[in-house]
Amino acid sequence: MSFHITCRQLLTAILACAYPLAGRVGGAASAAAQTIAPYTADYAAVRVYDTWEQSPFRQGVLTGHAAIVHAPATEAGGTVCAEPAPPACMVALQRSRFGSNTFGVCIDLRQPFRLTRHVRYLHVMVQQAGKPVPSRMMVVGLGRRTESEWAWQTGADEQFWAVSDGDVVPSAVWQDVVFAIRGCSYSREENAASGIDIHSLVVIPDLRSPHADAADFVCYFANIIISDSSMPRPCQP
Amino acid sequence: MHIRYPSSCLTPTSTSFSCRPVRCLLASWLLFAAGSVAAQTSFAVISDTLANPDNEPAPCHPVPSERQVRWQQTEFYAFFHYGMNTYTGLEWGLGNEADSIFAPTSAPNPRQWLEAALAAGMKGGIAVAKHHDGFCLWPTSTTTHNVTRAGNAYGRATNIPRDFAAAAADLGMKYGFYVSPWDRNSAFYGSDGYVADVFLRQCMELAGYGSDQFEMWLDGANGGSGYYGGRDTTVQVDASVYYDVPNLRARVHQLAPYCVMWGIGGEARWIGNEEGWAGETNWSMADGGGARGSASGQEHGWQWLPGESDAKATTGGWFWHSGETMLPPERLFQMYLETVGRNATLILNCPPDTSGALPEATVDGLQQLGQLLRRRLGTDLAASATAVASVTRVAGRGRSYEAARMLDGSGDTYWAAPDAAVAATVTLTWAEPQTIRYAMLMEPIRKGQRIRRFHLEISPDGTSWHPVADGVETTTVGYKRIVPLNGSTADSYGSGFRAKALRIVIDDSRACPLLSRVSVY
Repeated sequence: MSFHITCRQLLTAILACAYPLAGRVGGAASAAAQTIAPYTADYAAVRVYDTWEQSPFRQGVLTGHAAIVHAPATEAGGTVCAEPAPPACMVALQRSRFGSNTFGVCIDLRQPFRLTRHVRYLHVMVQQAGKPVPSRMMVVGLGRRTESEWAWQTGADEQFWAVSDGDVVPSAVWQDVVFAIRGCSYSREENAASGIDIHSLVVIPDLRSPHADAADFVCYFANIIISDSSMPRPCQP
Repeated sequence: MHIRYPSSCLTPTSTSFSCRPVRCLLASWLLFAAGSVAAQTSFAVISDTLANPDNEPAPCHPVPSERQVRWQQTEFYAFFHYGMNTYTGLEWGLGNEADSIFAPTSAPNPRQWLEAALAAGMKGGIAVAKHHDGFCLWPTSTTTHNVTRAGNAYGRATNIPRDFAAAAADLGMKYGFYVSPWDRNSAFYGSDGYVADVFLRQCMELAGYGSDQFEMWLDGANGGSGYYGGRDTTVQVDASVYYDVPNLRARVHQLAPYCVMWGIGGEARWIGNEEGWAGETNWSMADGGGARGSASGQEHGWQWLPGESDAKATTGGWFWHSGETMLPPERLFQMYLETVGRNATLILNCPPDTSGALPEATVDGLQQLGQLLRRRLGTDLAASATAVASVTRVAGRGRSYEAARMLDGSGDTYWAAPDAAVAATVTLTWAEPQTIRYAMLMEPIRKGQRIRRFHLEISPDGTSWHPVADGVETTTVGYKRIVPLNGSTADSYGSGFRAKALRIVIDDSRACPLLSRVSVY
């Protein structure tokens, strides 16, 4: 345990020369937690996404604005969470009023994860002080089956749609939003790798229709993990 | 300066880091010095504009896919429950029926089925290809429990999907198939092998019978007792994950791009009853769950999930039973008003008998229904009216929104209010008083479903007004709303109302109201 604290504290200290991070380390993730962090080699790893077929973002009319951003606490504003550990990076999305109610940011994963038949919980730390009203959020998983007869799939087929339990209140405080996810993972006995792999996650910050919104707003996502715990991770300063 | 973080150091697992402290520290400093772009240091809102030369109203989401729009336009179609149960007298076969029991007394005649449906004013049909008993009405490679082992030559030559698709093409009708996910015959039901090697393959085989299928019906009844290849046991499944619907849907759409997957397929929902009615308030939106059933939908649902009402045209069950009769045409017309007339589609069941054809009484009954529909809803009096609106959206470069757009017969045009308006009044006026009985409203659903509440008034002289449709909840409109002006769907025709003018008062909407069509009968 001390080994882990030492390593993480050192890294934190390195980053702290630019980013005023402090506080306790350690997280509430269970032993089965898997971190999904937006550490990718280039900006292609995040992009806007809209399920609406006629979206100007799918028709090539608008490109949208999403990026990986360094996470000084002041960048997103508000209270810094020391528990769970502050992120080194975060995903920023300009939620567009020209998209649909299922417009969000698509995060391509460095490693796909296997969708299971039993429920697991996707946790996303969210900061969206600029969202105009409380509303539900959603996560969509994009992926494909792994068997050879499904080789025609590109990994972009929507595999699950998980809605937050209730409205997520706009806040300058980071909050952990939890999504229950599962899917059909039938597999063939002769193929241990058989199943559904999720290659990308789409985080949708606002399930309201934006038709009456006068402006876009920015939201931030970080510390994405999958675990067997449904308890939101508290943000402790 | 941007920092590239080596993932091995910066992606902590729950158990350990993959590097030692010193190496980690060194790697980080080296990368800090080298610098490479992985992230930006700031993020600000970019000013975005979307050109709108036609001044179109923004869609009020969710909105339907093109597939769902085309499905909704089918409106009224037939259900044909024909199969093993026709010969056993059961509604839900156990799955242990001998193949030889299926023995039509003549060659099954899907063309006759569809001709009768066409006479009723239906635009298509869904034929059962496999019900819960598992007997397949086509020569499938997935199981031997199929027509190739039927009890006579008529049966062994049967291929319902092939003949149904051919007949539909010939008659210019839409078609699709019912395939039960639940299979009480299959020895594999409940195992992963059933999904991979039986059910998905059956769906693919059926999708192969025509790329222009409009609906695949996936029954929500799943799990229970059954033969199961001799196991004679009870198998329960979690239908929400067992059948791998997302990938099934993706595959079917590859083969049939406009095929709506009904029920557990997740693109259209069950209306929640089998009596042939939808809620007077019926939103096409819901929070997923196509098989769960809802007569009213959800105004704040995140997904476009329109309702379909499945109902029986006969007094018997879904399959044919000796002695059953057709429901009277007036009752079927009532069903039409309470489904198609309430923003739902109606799939009306007409079971073929043991000859493989529709009974004569069914054919006659469907013909009478068609005559009733044409007589009562065939002549649009709005065509001779003039329309004005209390507010009208400013025209754009290539599109205008005046009230006359509701009467021009085009599916592409619509009257629209300005963005700030959620209420408006549209008035139709005739040169001479007309006898009117029904008012029909349609929203251009590609822009979403908007109207929350409206009411109707008529004027016999163009000056005095009084409300009509007393007792009717005039709330939602959606794709189509037909209001009997006397307030009764059971006895809607009556003597009618003499009216020189009809006023549609939209009281409230989710966004600026739009109407693509107004008809008066």
